Formats: sequence, C-alpha cells, structure tokens
Amino acid sequence: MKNKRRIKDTISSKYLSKELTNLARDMLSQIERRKDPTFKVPNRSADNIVYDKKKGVIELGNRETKRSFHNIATTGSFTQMLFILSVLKEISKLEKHLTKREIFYQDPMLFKKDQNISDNLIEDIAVTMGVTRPCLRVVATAKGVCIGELVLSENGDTFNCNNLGRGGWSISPFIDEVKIRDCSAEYVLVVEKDAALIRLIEENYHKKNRCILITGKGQPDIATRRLVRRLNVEEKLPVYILTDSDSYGMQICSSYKRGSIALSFETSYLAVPKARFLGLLPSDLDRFKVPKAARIEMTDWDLKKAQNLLDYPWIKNNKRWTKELKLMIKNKEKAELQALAKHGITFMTDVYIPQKLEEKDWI
Amino acid sequence: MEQLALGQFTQDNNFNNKTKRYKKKHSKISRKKVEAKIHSHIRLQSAEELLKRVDTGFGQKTRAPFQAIVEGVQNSADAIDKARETLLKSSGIDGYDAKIEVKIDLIDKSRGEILLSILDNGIGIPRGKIKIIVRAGGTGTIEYKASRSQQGIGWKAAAIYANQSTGKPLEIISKTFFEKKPHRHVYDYGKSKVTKVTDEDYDKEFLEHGTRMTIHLVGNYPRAKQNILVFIKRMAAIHPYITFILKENGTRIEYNKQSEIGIPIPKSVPPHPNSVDVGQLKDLLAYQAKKKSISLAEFLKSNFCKVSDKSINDLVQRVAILQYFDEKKLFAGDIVKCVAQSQKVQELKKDPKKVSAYLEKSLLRDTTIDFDYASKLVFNGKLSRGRNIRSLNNEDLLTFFNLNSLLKIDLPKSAFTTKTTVNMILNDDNKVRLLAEVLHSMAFPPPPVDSLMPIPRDSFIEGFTTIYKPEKYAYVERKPTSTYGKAIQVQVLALFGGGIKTDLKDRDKLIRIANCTPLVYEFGSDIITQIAREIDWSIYKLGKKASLPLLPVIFAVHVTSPQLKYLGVAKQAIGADDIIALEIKLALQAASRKLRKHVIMLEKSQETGKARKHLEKNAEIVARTLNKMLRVNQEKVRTLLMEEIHKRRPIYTNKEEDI
Repeated sequence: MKNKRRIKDTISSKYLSKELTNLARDMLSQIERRKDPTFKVPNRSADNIVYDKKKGVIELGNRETKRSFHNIATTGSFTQMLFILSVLKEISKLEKHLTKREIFYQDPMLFKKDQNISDNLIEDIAVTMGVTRPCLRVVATAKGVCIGELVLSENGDTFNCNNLGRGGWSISPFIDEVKIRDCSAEYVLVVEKDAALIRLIEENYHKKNRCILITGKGQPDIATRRLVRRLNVEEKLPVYILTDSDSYGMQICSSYKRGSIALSFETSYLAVPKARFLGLLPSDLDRFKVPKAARIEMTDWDLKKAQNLLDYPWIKNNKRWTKELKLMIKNKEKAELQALAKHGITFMTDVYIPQKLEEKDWI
Repeated sequence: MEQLALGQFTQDNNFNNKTKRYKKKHSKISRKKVEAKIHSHIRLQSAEELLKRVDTGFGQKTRAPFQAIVEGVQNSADAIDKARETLLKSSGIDGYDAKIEVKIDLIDKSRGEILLSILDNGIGIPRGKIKIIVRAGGTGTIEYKASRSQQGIGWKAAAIYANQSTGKPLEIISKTFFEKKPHRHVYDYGKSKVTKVTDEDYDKEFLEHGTRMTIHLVGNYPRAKQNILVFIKRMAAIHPYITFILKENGTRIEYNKQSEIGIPIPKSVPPHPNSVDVGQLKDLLAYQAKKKSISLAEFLKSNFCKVSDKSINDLVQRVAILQYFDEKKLFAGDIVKCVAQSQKVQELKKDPKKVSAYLEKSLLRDTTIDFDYASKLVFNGKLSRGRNIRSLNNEDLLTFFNLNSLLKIDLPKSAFTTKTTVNMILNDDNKVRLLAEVLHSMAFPPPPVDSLMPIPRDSFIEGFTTIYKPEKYAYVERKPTSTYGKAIQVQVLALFGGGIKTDLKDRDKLIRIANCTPLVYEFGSDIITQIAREIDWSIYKLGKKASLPLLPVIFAVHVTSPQLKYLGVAKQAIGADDIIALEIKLALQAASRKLRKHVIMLEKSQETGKARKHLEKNAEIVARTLNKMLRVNQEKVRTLLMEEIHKRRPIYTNKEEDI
C-alpha cells in the first residue's frame, strides 16, 4: 500500500480560512442536494499505520472513516466537527492562536463535557485537511526544556539558551514561529526525564561538551519533537537519546525516531529517523556492572509492552534493537538511568556517556 | 393415660345406665316399632334436600348473591337464544331487541336480605312446564350440545338457598309466544319437597314473551358487588346482541345492544361412541329396549354419531381381541401407552433398529410383542406422544401383539355379532362392559362440530372492543377438535393498549369464558389460568416466565364444548383435560405471536422517535453553524435537514386495529 497523503507544515491564515470555508460549503451542497452530508476522515487508529522503510518513519495508511449526519452513531461527531471548523475559521480571520482547551470551552455541553472528544476532532480536522495541527493555529501546551549553546528569537525577543539560568528555556508552544539565529553546539542529547537533565546541568555537561540538552519530560509533546527535528534538519546536528532501560523508555525513543501512532500523519514533520539510541541499553547493565540491587523486576505490563515493541516493523528490521529487547525480556530486568549513580553520582557524565560516544555504541 | 382410661370407664358406665333406662321405659312397645325408630334416619331423600347439602357456590355469604345472578342470567341468555331460534324458524327474522334486566334491592341491611329479580324477554316457560323447572333433579336424557347451563341445577340451587336463608318463596312470572296471558307461580322449598303455593293468571302488564324470576336471599351484597359488576360487564361483552341492565338500589348500569349477530344456536347431536361410560351406555340400552329391541348395528347407528357399517365390523373383531387380552390378563392399553409416552423412544424415533432394541432389552423386557413392528409404528407416527390404543386399527393391534402371522393364535369367538340384540346385551353385564370398553378403545371419525357454540368473530370483537376500548386486538380461532368424543373449540381475543391499563390484577388480565359464560371465581384452579401461567411471555415480549403478561393486555379465552367438565357444581372453573389444555396453549401462543409483531413495532418507533430527537437537536446546531460560516439562510438549512430526517426515519404506524 503506497501512501499518497501529503502533509503541509506551513500554510497562511488566508489559505486556512479558504480551506475551512470550502469544507463547510461542501457540506452545505450535500445538504442542498438532499444527500447525507459526510466528512471523510483518514483513519488514525493503530491498524491504519504504514511503516515507510525508505524514510524510516511510520505514516498513515489510506483508510478513511465516514462521519455522516444521518448515521445516528456519527451524528454527534459530525456536528461537533462542523462546530470546530467554524471556531477555527474565526481564529484564522483574527490571525490568533487558540489552545485545545479554549476550543473545548466554546461549548463544553456539545462535547459532552469531555475535552478528549474535541482534542481528537482537532487532530481529525488537521489530517482531513492535510495539514499539521499547528497550521490550524491550535497550540498545545509544551512542557519540554532546552539548554545549551543555541541563540533563538521569538516575537521580537532574542536569547541564548545557555544564559537562562539552570532552568533552561521552556520550549515555546509556537515553535514554528521561533527562529534559530545561531548554533555553535556539536550535537543534541535528548534525555527521557527531568532528573537526568538536572544531573547533567549540575555537572555542566552541556558547557563542557558543547552540546544542547533537551528533555520532553516523559512522552515528548509536539513542540519538543519539532525542535529536535529542526535542530537535526536545519542545523545538521546529530541527535543522541538517553532513556531508562525499560519498555517505556524504548517507546519514548521510538516516538522521537519514528513518530507516535496518535500523530502518525505528522511524523514526516516531527520524527528524526537518524536519531541515535545511546542507552541505557539492557546489555549496558552487565557491561557497566550495574549492581543487582539497583535493577528492578519487570511487571507483567512491562513484559507485554516489550513483546508488543518486538512487532514494530522498524524494531523488527533492526537486529541490534531486537537483540537488546529480547535480552530485556529474557532477564526480566529494568533499570533507570539513576542506577548508574551506584558507581558514584558523576559516573554517567564522566564515564558512561563519553565511553558510549567514543565506542559509537548506539542503535 | 390413666385419666383417659378413667374417662372411658365412666362413659361406658353411663351408656349402660341409659340403655337400661330406655329398656325400662319402652318395654311395652313392640320390638318392630323400636327397630323402626332406631333406623328412622334411613329414608328416601328428595333431590331438593340433596341440593341443600352439595356445595353449589352458595356456601359463602359473599358469593351467594353473585352465584344466584350467574345462574339466573345464564338461563335468561339461553331463553333469549331459544326465542331467536324460534323467531328465525317461524318468521325468518334473525335477531330482535333482546334484553336482560337484573334488579337488586337491599331490603334489610342488618340481616343482609336482598331482593333479586331477573327479567328477560326470552322464549318464556309454558305454564305446564313450570313444575318441572322448579323441581330439582336431572332431566335424564343425554343432550350433546354446548349450552350455558348444563343440568339446570344452578338456578334451583339458588332458589333453594334463597328460600332457606329468608323463608321467602320463589316467584316466577312468565309468558310464551303462544300463551294469551302471563302467569304467576310461587313455590316454596321450605319443607323436604317443593310445594306449590300459587298458580294464577297475572293481570298486570308484562312482556310479550319472557320470564321474571324473583327470590329473596341473604348475602353480603357490598362484598359480592364487584364480582357481579365484572360478570355483567363480561356477559355484555360476549353477548353484544343483548342489552344488559343492572339496577341496584336505585343506580342503573346499562350495556346497550351493539350488534345483530347472535351466537349460533348449537344443534343437539347423538353422543359420540368415544364419550360414553358404562352407566350412560346402560341407560341408552335400557331406553332402547323399552321401545324395541333392535340389533347392535342398528342400535349403534341410531343412538351414536359417526358410526358406519365398517366400524361396526371392526368393532366385532375388536371385541374378540379385547376378550383375548382379558383371558391372557394382558394390559394391552398400558403397553401401547407405555411405548407412546416413552421419551427415549421418541428420541430414537428416526432409527427403528435402535427403537426395537431398546423396547426389547429394557422398556418391554417381559412382554412378547413384535418389536420391529412397534418401532415401525413409532417411525411412521402412529405411536407418537399422546397416542394410545385408539390410534391402532385391528390389523396393527394384531401384528403388534404377535397374534397375526407367526403363531397363528386362535382368537376367542367375539361376544357380539352385528345381529346381537339390545336385550341380549342388556341381560349380560359383562357384555355391557365389553361394549363400553370397545367403544372407548376404537377410533371413530371426530364428532360433528355443530354442537358447539363459538362466539362469531365479528361479534366477539365488537362486544369486547366496545366495552374494553383497546388500541389493538388480535383474534385467534382454533379449528374444532375433540377430546374423548366430545367436540371442543377454543377462541382467543387479545386486547392490547388503549383503555387497558398496565396495573391490572391477574384475574383481570385473563377473561375466562366457558360456553359463552364468563367465569369469575376459582381463578387459580382453572385450566386456562394454569396454561397461561406456563407460557413464557418473554418470547412474545409481553412479560416474563411463570406469571401473566406484564404489558397492558387482556386475553379473553373462550372454550366451547358440549358437557364441558367443570371443577364443581358452581361451574366457575374448567377442569383439566390434555386436549383442551393444548388447544388453549396454541391459541394463546398464536394470539401472542400477533401481539409480538405489534410490540416490536412499538419498540422500533420508540427508538426512531429517540433517534429523530437526537438528529433534530443536531440539525439546529448544524444550521446555526453553517449560517455563521457561510451566511446562508439558517431556517432553509434547518428545514432541509428536518425534511430529510423525517423522510429517512419514518415512524411506522399501523392504523388497523386488527393485528
């Protein structure tokens, strides 16, 4: 199955307004012709995902879901979708941005007091129109942090991410409007969690090694992923990823590298296929002699998740990754990055990362 | 123990003393007289006295007024049917303004004395027949036709009870078509025999033809009232061609005549050979012998229905077979029944070899029959469940019991030939018994159905829908069939919704009708109730298992049959009978199937209604949103959407009342 869907990542507000009007007009003409007005929405569920081997990312398949007015099961979502279109048209005219929550509060009763409903429909509208969600002028709150030798400008302010204290720069939700002025770093190091970031900052790792540290604080949001991609594409910086040695960590690494299922239609705009998975690899536990006391037994959920990961095409095709996963399942052991601190709190910055980089021991 | 023994002793002592004293006192009276005095309790009892002792429904004071009205109104309805028949025969007029008027007056509140008078413009009673009407006892002839009152005992029981409770006599005023003047009679049941008090011309104004019966009785009228109202209401629903008027203590309830269609007048038919017992057979033989002693063949043909020459020949041969069974002490009927009733046999039915093996090895181990032939009979359905020896003809029976081919057993000479005379049979008790037995064990064509009195479809529907005002109704009529030689027919009218409420009591959900008479008391023991409670109503979406329907539905079930078996003299419940039970069940199920369709349709339209509401709500928003985005006419879009919603989701309505 060949994927023909093309996603635009920048559009003007005028174009957006015109596209929204066209969609509404299409519905009106269907009503006037006494047809059942129907939105054809590309199916965003897990079984409509295609792995593009060439590009190395997951993308949306060709299947579509119909949301029609006269089908009692979809009447509600049809109306809700049309309602959101009207809200989007309004903000596009005013050239403003709205958060998902603001859209939900336009009429919470219509969305049955459940923000998930309106959030999902916003993604549906984006994919239906063939644009990324930020193009719709809808922003999601960003929670990522970036610190390192990077000069940016946004909305008239220019700043260096190295000069913002030890808290670093809170990644802006309007990431596409941020301009990269200067970048003297040599690589990007993405860490899974805040705790690991704090350790690296305290050891001044970014300054000593001329790199940019980024964390998405768990599963990364769009803005964080977009920033990583922009640094990789625009500044040609290699990207290294550091996560815990468990199935959740691998999952997070996978979403930086290949894109997430929920936003698979935007992967070409968010994913960094060439990102390198540095660690913590299951084989590292023995190699770096992580004591047994610091390892944790995997739960059933962990094992199930790991088993699922084995079926992902990009993992299946990667011998090293498969090997590491199988090792993890075999040992039934997981460990956090902090486990390395058993050898001394600076073991990670002084020994582990440099050794791994030197040996080019990554996936 | 000791105390008891002591007590006994004193008693014995006492008794001895008494006897001594008696002997002393009566020593001079002859022994014969003493004996007569001692045995004076043995005497001939009149039928009237007997009736006083039998439970005829007058035992309870709350029920007595109801029972009296039931008996009286039944007689009146019969009289009206007779009048209709007479008018039709004599002048070709079908139907007239028939009327039954029940009048109740509470005379003495403290004692509960009620004056009850029932007036009808029926056929009337000829002056000469009054004394037969008032005298208790059966008429002595077997009349095979359905009728409301069967032995005519009911009304007499009412009159006797009334007379006993208040001491006041029964008054009858009547006039027939042909009599010039109405006549008035007063009878008193006070003594052991009924006595005539008055027999005179009635000078005051009276009907052209008809009867008025008046009695005074003691009863708890306020408590009986509800059931009386129910009875009259149902009676009116069954007889839309009669006007019913109930006057009680000044108030008046009237159910006007709705229709001209009367209930067909059942024809009296000779008894069916399957239906007579030894006693009845003996009576018939004796009656015939008195007139003229004729041959068996002639006797059977003239006294029974559905007897042909062929069946008489079969009968003669069959008697020989039965005699053989008697000699060998073989319970043939039980053996046949055993095979037909066995569940295992019915399960194996399709494989005759297995049936044969099962019969030989376990079920009928100690008997010698032709097992292969038995399994063949099972296979071709002659011995399916519910069948008995009657289903097998002589040939089958002979082969079944190995009497035909291999062993060549000589059958005993038949006790009868076609020329055996009635007198010869009557003189030999064994022959009478054999004849009764053979009549029971043979198959004859089913009895004629014109002895039935089904309520005509249109009349049934019109009567009940006018009074109960349902939204829909379903009518089911089973074909007449027979049980033990008596024709029966079952009709069911299901009334649904509209004026019928959901919170009805069980006894109001099921209207039981036997030979055009509604039954009110003894609800639980009636076979109709029992069958209705066995039905799983959830299948028909009407309710649940083991209870009566929960939806607003009333089933009126009519069973008509000559000599219908009731559970008591009060005739308020139909007795158990397999065939009647099956017919009731099938009729109720058929009516329920019809209702089910309607219920599903109601559910569907309810769903459609909900869906429409949801769509309409959304259509408003869609129209508003499109107006906001494209500046189109909101009302126009709304109308377009609404039209489409209504077109795509039509609400199904069935205007027909009959479903």
